[in-house]
Amino acid sequence: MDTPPREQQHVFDKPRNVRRVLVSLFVVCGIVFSLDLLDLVLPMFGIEKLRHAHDETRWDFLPGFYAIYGFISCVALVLVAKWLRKFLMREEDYYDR
Amino acid sequence: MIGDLPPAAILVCGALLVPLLRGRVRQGFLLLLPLLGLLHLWYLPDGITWKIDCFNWQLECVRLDPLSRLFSYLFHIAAFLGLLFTLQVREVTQQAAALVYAGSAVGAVCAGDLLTLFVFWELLAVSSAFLIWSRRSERSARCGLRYLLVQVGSGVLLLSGIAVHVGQGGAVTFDKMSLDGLATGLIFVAFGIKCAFPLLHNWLVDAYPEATFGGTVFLSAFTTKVAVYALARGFPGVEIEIMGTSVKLLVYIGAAMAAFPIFYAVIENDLRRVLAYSMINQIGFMVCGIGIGTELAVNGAVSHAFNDVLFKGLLFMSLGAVLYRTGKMNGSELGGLYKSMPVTAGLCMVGAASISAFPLFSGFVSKSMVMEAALEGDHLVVWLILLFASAGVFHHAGIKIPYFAFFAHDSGIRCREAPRNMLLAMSIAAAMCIFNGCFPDAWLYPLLPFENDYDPYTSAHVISQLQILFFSALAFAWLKLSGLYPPELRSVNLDTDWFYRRPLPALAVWCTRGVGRCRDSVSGQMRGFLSRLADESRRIYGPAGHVARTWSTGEMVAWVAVFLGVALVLYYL
Repeated sequence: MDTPPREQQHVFDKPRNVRRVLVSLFVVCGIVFSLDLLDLVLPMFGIEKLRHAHDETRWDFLPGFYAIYGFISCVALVLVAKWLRKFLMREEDYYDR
Repeated sequence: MIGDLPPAAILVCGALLVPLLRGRVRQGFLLLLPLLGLLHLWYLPDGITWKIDCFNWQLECVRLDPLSRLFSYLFHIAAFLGLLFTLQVREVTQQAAALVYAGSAVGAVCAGDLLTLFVFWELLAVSSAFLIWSRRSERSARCGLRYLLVQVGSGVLLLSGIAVHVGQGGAVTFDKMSLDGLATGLIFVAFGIKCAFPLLHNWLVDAYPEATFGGTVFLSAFTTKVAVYALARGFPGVEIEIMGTSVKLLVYIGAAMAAFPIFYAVIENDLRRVLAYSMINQIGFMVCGIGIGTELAVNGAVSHAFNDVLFKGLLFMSLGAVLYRTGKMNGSELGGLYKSMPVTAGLCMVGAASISAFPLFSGFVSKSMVMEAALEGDHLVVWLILLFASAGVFHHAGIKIPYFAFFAHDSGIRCREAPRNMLLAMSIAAAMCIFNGCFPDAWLYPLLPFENDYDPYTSAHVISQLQILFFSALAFAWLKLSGLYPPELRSVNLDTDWFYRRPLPALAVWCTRGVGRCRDSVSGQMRGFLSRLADESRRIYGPAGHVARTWSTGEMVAWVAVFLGVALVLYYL
């Protein structure tokens, strides 16, 4: 392993850049969510809907269904997995002992 | 091209020549072989091209049709990428084993009968074990043995199934089967073990992270995909009767496979093990598609297998490069590597985007086919589970892998960028991921077994997918910022391998000790009896014993006289 004599500054060494990434994520989330809300508004102006659900009888026609489902899934996944650690986690050398 | 030579022969026979070559010649030869194989396959016509008569059966050793052709092409590409990635390896065993392994995968998917399939099935098991042993640590030696036991076990089940099947008058050709008896049941379980069905999956997450930095790249490409092929060939849309209703078994097995490993992936520290869990999750999508069994679903499953080999290979390659350069693989020890390995980090993110099914990346095209088929087949609950799994896969494979390896906190590790051959292999894989994502109908769709007119790029689908992905990222960011995200800890997580690594050896030790104690007690008693017998004999026959006592001559004469006298008296009487 080489250690350079003087460490140069990298992109994410600056907190400002990390903040920028986070803000862009929030903005993109806002945009993709609002595309669904746009579907509610557009037909009022006689413009065709942007997206059509697979089947109107199913509940993926709900605005933001995928966004909410994705968010809740991930939070539930992480919290359940964290809780599972109580039962599943052992020392690193558990099998070598 | 080279006559009707079986496609597997080029790779397997080529492996035998590898130990004879040295240096650049060997490197060139290694890269040339899969390309030669690919070219040969290209010119080989569809149909049965290699038959032999054996034990009164006509074995169709090579049968090419669109399904086997697609997998054969795929395995040649994977072999080429893997060999390019590991080109600097000097150890000949690893490279020869990898070639035999790739060759047996090709042989297995081209097998037109069950016996040929069995032969390659076992060859896959044996050759791949060397990729684990090549790490040359005590851990990998033991792990390789466990792996081999499970794989050979699967082969034994397959052979038993074939024996019962043929014994019952079944055909030896490998075609679609129904799950209605012991024979097909055994074959199904044998496929299930290699495919990492739930509870039979643990060999995969146990062994893959223990292989060498390049070994895992090969392992990830072949074994499970051969099993996916075998299921697609033998059991598409298979149904079983449960309480009077017929159930599409593989749909539910696939859904379980897609859902449960992601929980493990979130808390796992070894990043290659995270990928191994994520691999079961991806195979879950394929198994689900095969279970649904419609043309769209099988096309989806097969194309997902194709894409998975590329993006999973890319992810394993990027982590292999990290392991090669830093010697570390735990999330708790890595971080900040984007500073030292920026190109690898970028390529890893292409793999992450592909596995997460980002629009314009390969996973988006193939995963959606399976999801769409699940909706069309009225499997709403399964669809919701797959949707959960899609969000989860982005969370652990799409974000966790690049984040903990290349970003997160700076671990202070400074190393060189990956070697050029590794970067080239990763770049080719990344380019194929993007190409398949952007132009699925260029060469992926025409290879599929059924006619395919599915269009993934509808506005509804793109927006839905972007919502899932960005809001999963949002969940990650929120959990991380709020401190709720579980930290990476040096640990192991118990899985089903616990049963054969803890209680089973303990039982074996207990049994051995019991047998030892029995033997000790029996031999102790026998020894006591024999020594008592010896003492008694010595007492009677020994020098001081009764029998050994000496008699005087006078006494003898007196007794003879007495006996003679008695005889005389008796005579006169």
